[in-house]
Amino acid sequence: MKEKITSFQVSALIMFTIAPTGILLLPGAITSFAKQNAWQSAALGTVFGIGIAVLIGYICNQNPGMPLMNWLEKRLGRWVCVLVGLFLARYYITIAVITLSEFSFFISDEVLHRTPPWLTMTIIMLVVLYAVGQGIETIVRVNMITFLVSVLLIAAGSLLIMKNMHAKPLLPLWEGSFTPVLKGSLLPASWLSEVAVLLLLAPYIRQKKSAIRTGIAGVALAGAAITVTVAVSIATFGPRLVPLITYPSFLIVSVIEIGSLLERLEIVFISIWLLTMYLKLSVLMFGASQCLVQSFHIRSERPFLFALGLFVLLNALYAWGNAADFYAYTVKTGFLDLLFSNALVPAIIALGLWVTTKGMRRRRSYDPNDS
Amino acid sequence: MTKRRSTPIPESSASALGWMMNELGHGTDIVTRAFACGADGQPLVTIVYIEGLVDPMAVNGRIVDRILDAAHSLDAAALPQDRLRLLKEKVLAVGGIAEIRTGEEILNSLLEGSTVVLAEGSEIAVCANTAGGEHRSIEEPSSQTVIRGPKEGFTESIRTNVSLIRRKIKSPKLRIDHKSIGTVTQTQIAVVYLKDIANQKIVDEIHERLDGIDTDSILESGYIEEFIQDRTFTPFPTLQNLERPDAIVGGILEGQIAIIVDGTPFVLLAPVTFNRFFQSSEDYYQRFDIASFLRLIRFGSFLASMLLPSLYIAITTFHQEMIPTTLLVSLAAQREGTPFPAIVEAFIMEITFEVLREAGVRMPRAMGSAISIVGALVLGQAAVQAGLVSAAMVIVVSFTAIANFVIPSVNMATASRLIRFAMMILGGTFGLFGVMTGLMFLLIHMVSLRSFGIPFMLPLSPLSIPNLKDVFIRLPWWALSTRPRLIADPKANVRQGKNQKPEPPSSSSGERNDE
Amino acid sequence: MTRTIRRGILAAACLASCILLTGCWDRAELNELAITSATSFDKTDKGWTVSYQVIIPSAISSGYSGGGGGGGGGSPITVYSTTGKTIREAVSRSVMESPRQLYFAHNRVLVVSDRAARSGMNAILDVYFRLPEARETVNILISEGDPSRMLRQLFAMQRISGEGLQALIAKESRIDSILPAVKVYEFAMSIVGDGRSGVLPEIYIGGSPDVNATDKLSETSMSARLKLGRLALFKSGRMVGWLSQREALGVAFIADRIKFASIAFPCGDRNSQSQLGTFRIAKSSTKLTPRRSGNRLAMEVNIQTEGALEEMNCALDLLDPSVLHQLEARLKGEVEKIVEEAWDAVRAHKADVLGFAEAVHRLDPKYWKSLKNDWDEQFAAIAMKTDIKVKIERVGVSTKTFKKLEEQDNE
Repeated sequence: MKEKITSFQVSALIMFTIAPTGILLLPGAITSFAKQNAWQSAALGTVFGIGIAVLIGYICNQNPGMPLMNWLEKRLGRWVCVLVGLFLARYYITIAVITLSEFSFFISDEVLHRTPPWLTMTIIMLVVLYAVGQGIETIVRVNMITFLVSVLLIAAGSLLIMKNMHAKPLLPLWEGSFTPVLKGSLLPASWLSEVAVLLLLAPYIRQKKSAIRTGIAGVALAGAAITVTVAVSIATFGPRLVPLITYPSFLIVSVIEIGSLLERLEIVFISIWLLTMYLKLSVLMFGASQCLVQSFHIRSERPFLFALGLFVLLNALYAWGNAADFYAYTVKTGFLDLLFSNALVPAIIALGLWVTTKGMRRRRSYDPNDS
Repeated sequence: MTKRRSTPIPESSASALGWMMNELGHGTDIVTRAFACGADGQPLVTIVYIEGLVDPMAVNGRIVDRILDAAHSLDAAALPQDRLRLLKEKVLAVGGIAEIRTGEEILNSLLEGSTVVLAEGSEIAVCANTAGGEHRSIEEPSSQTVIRGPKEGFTESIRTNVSLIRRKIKSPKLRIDHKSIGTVTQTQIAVVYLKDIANQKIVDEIHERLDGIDTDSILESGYIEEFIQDRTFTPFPTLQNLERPDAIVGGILEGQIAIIVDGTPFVLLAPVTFNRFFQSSEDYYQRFDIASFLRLIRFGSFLASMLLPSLYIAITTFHQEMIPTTLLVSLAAQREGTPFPAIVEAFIMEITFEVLREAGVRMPRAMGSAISIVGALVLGQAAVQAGLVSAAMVIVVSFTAIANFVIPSVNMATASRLIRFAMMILGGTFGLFGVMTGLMFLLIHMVSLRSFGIPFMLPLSPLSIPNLKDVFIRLPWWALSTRPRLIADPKANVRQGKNQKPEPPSSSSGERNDE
Repeated sequence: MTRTIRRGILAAACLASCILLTGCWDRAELNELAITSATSFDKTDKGWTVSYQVIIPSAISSGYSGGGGGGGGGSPITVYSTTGKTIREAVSRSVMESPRQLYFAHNRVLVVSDRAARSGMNAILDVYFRLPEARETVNILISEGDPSRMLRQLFAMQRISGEGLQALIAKESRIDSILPAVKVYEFAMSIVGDGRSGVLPEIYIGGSPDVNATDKLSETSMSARLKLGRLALFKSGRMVGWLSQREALGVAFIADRIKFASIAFPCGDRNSQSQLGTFRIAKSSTKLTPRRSGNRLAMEVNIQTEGALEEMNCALDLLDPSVLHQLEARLKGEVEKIVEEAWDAVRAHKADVLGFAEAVHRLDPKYWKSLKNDWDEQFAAIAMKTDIKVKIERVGVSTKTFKKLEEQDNE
């Protein structure tokens, strides 16, 4: 526990845990529900996400600074700890597998069409394992540099895409019922619920009791990124074309044409996006390994990490059939898993904590010095 | 370290001399001089020194001359102890005088350039510091040149080097801790820092690491560097070496610690962060605007030197869509008829360049111009005309090479040279995805690096906004009011007063001037 | 220590395998590519015929650096066609006759024959959106007859004629917005938009014989030139008809696509052919406002135009405000006429390329819901009301016309 990170670093990390896949897949998915009002869905989803962040932050603030699982073990007992640890590990592994496949699909769709996926996946996994092996401090610091670079790039990019954007496709603001907007908001909300990784990160934060603020800032950043991407996609392509395009966020950039010099810029954006994707995967792998290492008190972390990486890699290679299966999972059932693991499970933990705190307080009421 | 023997000094000067000559192997450069001070011509005082290590003026003028003058009083002293005291207190006109009691100490002080004075019948010898001899004088540094700024550089003599630093920092807080490392070479090392400004924890850490070195020889500061750096398996240097006293003093004033090694003009500076390798001491002497611009150029050159060939390969063989059509067509026209794939072509050119460069360094200076003619004409022009490589590749490789020379620090430039080859392979195999993956790997590596506990990428990650005042840009001097955080002692953060921005005199005084 | 060494060996092994595997997969050297600068699609009974205009880099480059050679060696481009049941099948047949892999990322222009356009653009759009190497920023042009003729035609000044074609349409839409430069994604947007219609410009070869060999370029006047023609109307992805350039200008007015344009208008006697002036539009904006009147829809079209006089053949004192007002009224009438003609032509085809559907959807979403299902009929039944304001901002550097000076002399 000697590694220490700051609250701002964690917020930025949470943003890059959520945003990379969010800006890639969400514009199309949300727009197919809510049409031109999709950005409202994203904004609404952000509000839900902030709610989840508050819940997670509340749990984190109870933690006196121990690793999550050890703390749960102390508070709720060994079996609860193992159960929660296993469940969360399953969740992180699943998401890591999905993210890895998404990453590799994307690369074969957009960058390297004929390179076999096993090779790209292996390379990605090697880099990710190297990052996770260096510890969370390294991950957040890499994240910080990526954050600075991408802020600069996004600032430059938004100037360039201005010309292609029109306000008309975003209108009318309110059309028909609110239901599609609400339906559309579930997806971003589930994505933003990944803020639950804060549970694992909070013990490392230098500023005590800042978890709620950190979580909200992270979710707000990621939510803003998603909302803006959705809005810009619709403003550029209109609500009907966006769902047809696989990766609208990069097509926005690829239609930039300023003179004959600045065109086909998407590869630059994709390059930076690749870095953020590495970070997301690192965080997920970190989550999976920490859950297992802490709940089972594994000592030799490195070999274990390697085995875990291999497991995720093989899963990503063989567990997914084709693009349609994949899409069906991520958009239809995946978000339920996300919401369940990231909102419901923490809620249960919070309930358990609340009950035990009451119990402890009652038992210790005669000994006020102890607390 | 091997345990020190301790041999008592024989009372008789003759046997002491005999022992010494035996230990030192009867070297012809060992000079002994006995003074027949007694009435019977018996040598009462003998001096020993090694020719070339001592300053002959000091030995002749301050020791030999004085002893000859004082021959009578020496003779008058009855006891050897009195004679010794007389020598020490009245006769020897040298600043540094020490009593030594063992044979080993005699040998050490002889080898360090002292003159040993033996008094007949005494078990104690006197060593007078007469170290000197031939040294290179202070010259302009050959590797780190500037246009504006002091032209003096360190020399091979640790005494000169320490004095160069002392002359610039006239503060009693300047600490110079001496130690000698190397069981055979007994190389003098000095750790120089400003007390209360350098972080004491880092000073202790440096001392601890230096004391841990167990080796027979230290011939250059590079030895020390490899022994005490935080991580070996990295292409990046985590200690800086500098030939310029002003740059070292600048570092010391920011709380860094200098390690001077006898026998080399390259002084080490630690702890050091990534950005320090892109600063030249001239940045602080020039106007801040041009200094900032040059820094950005240097960072850009570093990236170019590391990535340009790999990006060229990646873009021309994987992402041709990024190139404007007209350029693509002219590149394609150049590639018509070249036999090798772009990556092989790049490797041929890069390796050729590295060979040329090494040849340029190793060759006798007189042949230097021959190399440049061969390099420029034969390899540049002829290779293109013969259709071996495309002209664009020659441009890319040459620019990469020139960009590499822009980096002020040679060892950081070397790092980018090595990384370049790995990047080229990645770029040639996986295109930009490969390059980005390589960059990610590098970023993870650099961020996890530390220099004496200080994160290597300090002002960027962990982000430290106050430190950014002197990284990519250099603010004017009056704005640099604090020392870099984390490196210097936290208590010694403030460096100069605030609100020092110069302004023209107020209007009334201005009018007065006009009158 | 041993661990780091072992890890190093592992990394080295990975690196070595990478080197050994280099040369596979996606790597394509520049001299293995056939850089395509323009493509054309034609549909016949046998299926799709796709033609490619491929750049010959060495020919172009030698032309640049050849020195005093003049006309330059061989042709800078070569054109060939392949046929298949589907577009991609046709494209994949190209390997049968081309030693180099076709590379489409630098494709600038897509020429579609009117036959193919009439049978539907969806297949073409699908290919463009599915394949990552195809640029969605390609300009589409429609040609009557064999489109590969357009690809074979050379420009006198642009060596890469695909680029020349694109420059031609892009410059036209910027300087004289009669025909719009439509990119693939823009066309797709309008086809899937509320109006389900779109427009594309026509390209044709004026004159004969075709200039398709470099030796013909040595003449000062080319026997045939590529020219932009009419505007093709699309409904639900199928081409339904043509609009003339004058009608196209009217469409541009209503659809708010005017950047710059020049209009000739009668300044004096309405029927006189010599009493004309030219008005250069520098700024124009159009606002569409749908109004419900009973169960019919009325569309108010507000056009506000500003610009300068570029030519004046009437004897008028241009410093007199009342004269300017009079001219503005003339101009307004002319624009009104252009717009009305365009509206009639578009209405006849029942193709809503004017943005009326979007306007209704945007401003009256509830009403749109009831109209949506038979919009074509509703569209044809719309009563359009125009409200045009023309403002002459400048009259050029000469305040009096030469005609006027002439008259004064006569006095």
